[in-house]
Amino acid sequence: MRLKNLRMAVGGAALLSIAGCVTINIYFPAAAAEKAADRIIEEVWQGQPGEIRPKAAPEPEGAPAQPKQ
Amino acid sequence: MIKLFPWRWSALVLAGLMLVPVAAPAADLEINTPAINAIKSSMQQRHAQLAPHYGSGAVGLTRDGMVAVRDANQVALPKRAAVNGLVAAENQDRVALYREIARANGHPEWEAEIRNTFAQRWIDRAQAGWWYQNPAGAWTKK
Amino acid sequence: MTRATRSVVVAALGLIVLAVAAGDARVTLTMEDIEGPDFSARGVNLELLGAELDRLRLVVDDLSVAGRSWRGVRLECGRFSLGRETLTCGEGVLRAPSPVAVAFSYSPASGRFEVEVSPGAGEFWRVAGRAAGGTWNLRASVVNGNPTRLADWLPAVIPRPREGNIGAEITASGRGDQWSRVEGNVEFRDLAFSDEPGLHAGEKVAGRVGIAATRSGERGEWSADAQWTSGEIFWQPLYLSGGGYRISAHGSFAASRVGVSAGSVVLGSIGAAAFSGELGRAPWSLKRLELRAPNIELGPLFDAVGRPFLQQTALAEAEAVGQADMDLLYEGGEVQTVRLDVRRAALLDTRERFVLGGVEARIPWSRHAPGEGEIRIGAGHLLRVPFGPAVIPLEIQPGGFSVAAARVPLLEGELTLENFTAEREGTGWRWSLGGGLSPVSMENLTKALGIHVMHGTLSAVVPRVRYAGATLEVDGALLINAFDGTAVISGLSMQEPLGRAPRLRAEVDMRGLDLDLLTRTFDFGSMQGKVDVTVRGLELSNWRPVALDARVASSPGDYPRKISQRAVQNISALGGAGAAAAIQRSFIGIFEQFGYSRLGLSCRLERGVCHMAGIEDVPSGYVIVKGGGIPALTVMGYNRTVGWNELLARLQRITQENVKPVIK
Repeated sequence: MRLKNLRMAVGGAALLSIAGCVTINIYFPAAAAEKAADRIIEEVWQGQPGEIRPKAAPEPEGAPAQPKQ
Repeated sequence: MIKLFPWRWSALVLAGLMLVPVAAPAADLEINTPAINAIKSSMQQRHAQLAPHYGSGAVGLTRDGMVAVRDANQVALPKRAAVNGLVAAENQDRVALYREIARANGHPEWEAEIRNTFAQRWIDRAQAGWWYQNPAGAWTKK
Repeated sequence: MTRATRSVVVAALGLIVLAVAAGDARVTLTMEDIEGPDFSARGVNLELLGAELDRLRLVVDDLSVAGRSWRGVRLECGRFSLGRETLTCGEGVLRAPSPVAVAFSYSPASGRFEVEVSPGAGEFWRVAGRAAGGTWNLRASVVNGNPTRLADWLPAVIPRPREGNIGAEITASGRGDQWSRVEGNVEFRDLAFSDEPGLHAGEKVAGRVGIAATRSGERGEWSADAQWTSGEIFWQPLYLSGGGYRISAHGSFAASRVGVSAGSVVLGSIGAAAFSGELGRAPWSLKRLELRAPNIELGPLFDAVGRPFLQQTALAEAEAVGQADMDLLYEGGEVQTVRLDVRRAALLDTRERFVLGGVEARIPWSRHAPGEGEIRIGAGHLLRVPFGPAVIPLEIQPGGFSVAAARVPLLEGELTLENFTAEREGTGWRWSLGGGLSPVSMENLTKALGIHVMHGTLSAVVPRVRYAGATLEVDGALLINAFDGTAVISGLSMQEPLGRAPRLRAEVDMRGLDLDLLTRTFDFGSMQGKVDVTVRGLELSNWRPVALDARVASSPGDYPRKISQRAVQNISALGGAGAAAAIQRSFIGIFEQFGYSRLGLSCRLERGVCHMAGIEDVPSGYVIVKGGGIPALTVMGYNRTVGWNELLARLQRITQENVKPVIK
């Protein structure tokens, strides 16, 4: 419901920006907020302390170690 | 010949580096900051004490993302002050959590929206039998 | 009461209808409407039945008394007699609608009346009295009364009684609608009461309330005595149990005021207080209160009324002992003076975070004039760091207090406090102070704190610290001498320092730190030399860094520069996986120590990632340690980004695991 309103508001704002050259570049990321809320609620209500799930996929960075001769 | 850095050791360091967290993709909200983690673990620990009170209906989830003493009669007299304390501490954490999420994402003005989102999700994910406030503010059993 | 009776009689006289049926006698009296003050009855039908007209049946369609109403009220008397002198109703049953045994009698000539209601077995509510010649007296008594019957009659603000047993004996007399004497005694036991949300409730409560008053005209005298002997009460946020509480007072009253004199209140193990004062009537208000509470026991007082209000503070798990005298004067809607004398008191945290012992305090406060007080502390410790003894002179103003100067011994040094001022601001406090710490040994301090033992001395000069609106700000700079160098912390501010997620911002500049002391302290592998540390934009959230731009680099100047093999390894590890050590000349490998000319490492922390750099960039990376002298050694870093948590984990591994170089 709220999401729908928001979408409408953003849509409306987009129309306005075309019509009146108003730039709207900040909006509330409702879907991301819901996802974040779900993750936190899940941990608070079901997880035990210290049982925090790993985050983003690991990615190696930088060059491997090399001794300079 | 002396080798100051045997390969085995370097490999260990390399393996350690594999765990480097990368900046979250733009689509996700940042929720992995020291403050948020501290609040979260404090709430996690408290949940074990609060859960029976959610179940008995002594404490319910409010429509504004907080918790409240709904019916203290479910709790023995000497323990009522403790329930009040739990509720007050939980609400302090919740306010701090919403504010910190907004701050961590560089938009302190999102606090109210984040609180609204949480309010809905706490209620949606509540167990059957728990009490929550419907949008009109009336206590309802899930 | 008499007025109501009169109007009822007048209405009845006008509406009597007599009907005598064949065989059986019957008198029927019908009334449309009876009105009196606080009383109305509609559709009243009274019948006398039986051959002797000795049974009565009264039906009232709508009855309302004192704001409450019933529909279809029926009264039947099995033994009814209407003699010349007396009207009696025996074996009566009142249905409203549940049946209740009643009996009553009334003698118009003498004015005597008696009503007895027995709603339960062994339970009686009686009123008897006499009204004649304008004067009246009555005696009400309750035996085994069930207090739940009063539930609907009590004002909404009073918690509903749920169960219990009441006995009462009340006598009153007066003339017309004026009472002249009231005396009552109510005893209750096993009383349970609660409001709807259960925030004001009691269970198994037993006690007694006695009142007495006499009046002539608008003036009179009163006395009252209430005792709570056992049971438990939760009155948010207070929980009291066990009883031993008593309050009594007497005084005089007039049309607009009630005087209270010789009041005394006994609060179980807390102590006793004497009070006097004055109440205003219509509306009820407290005009004046004088309270004197000598020898209050601070332990039970803190348990009962202190801790519940301090749930979310550092004092939530504290215990208090000691005694105090307290005087208070309230007048004209405001507290005028408070005097608090604390003797032989101590405050200790059950989690041993702090102890404050041998506390003596004298705190006089007045709304009108400044006063002087004092707090003496015998000894204490905070996070296991001992301090004291100290004398803190207080200047007390109507809106706050200040301390011109105070010294608190701390370890072998001294903490000085200057120009401390605190004042109320809305619901919170605003305070500021200056001060400093004369040198204490870091070794003693860190040992006391139970953290890594550090060397050097710690001293500080704090020009001004201000706290307002949950934000703490330090003006000027904080100077610390440690590791033979100096540290300057400037731009220090803290938001919500006592909240769940305190936030700290600061700039740090450290000059000439002795590497030998530093590396020994943290078991990093020996290094010699001096470093400068600069931290810009340091931001801690919940005491952990979330943003900073830090740089460690060799200090300028001449001093020995040596680095051990182990330190080289550890620095390389900090540089990330890409870091590696290179030995300039192969034969140098046999040495335990190497020379260097310059070293430096920086980290810019953003969103959990540390962006690293060294003293200079080279095509494939950056230089962390630049070789110099003989034997010389250079350490390179290749990796420019490392996760902050990983960096901390490595640092911890290095300083704890005591990594030894592998020599083949």
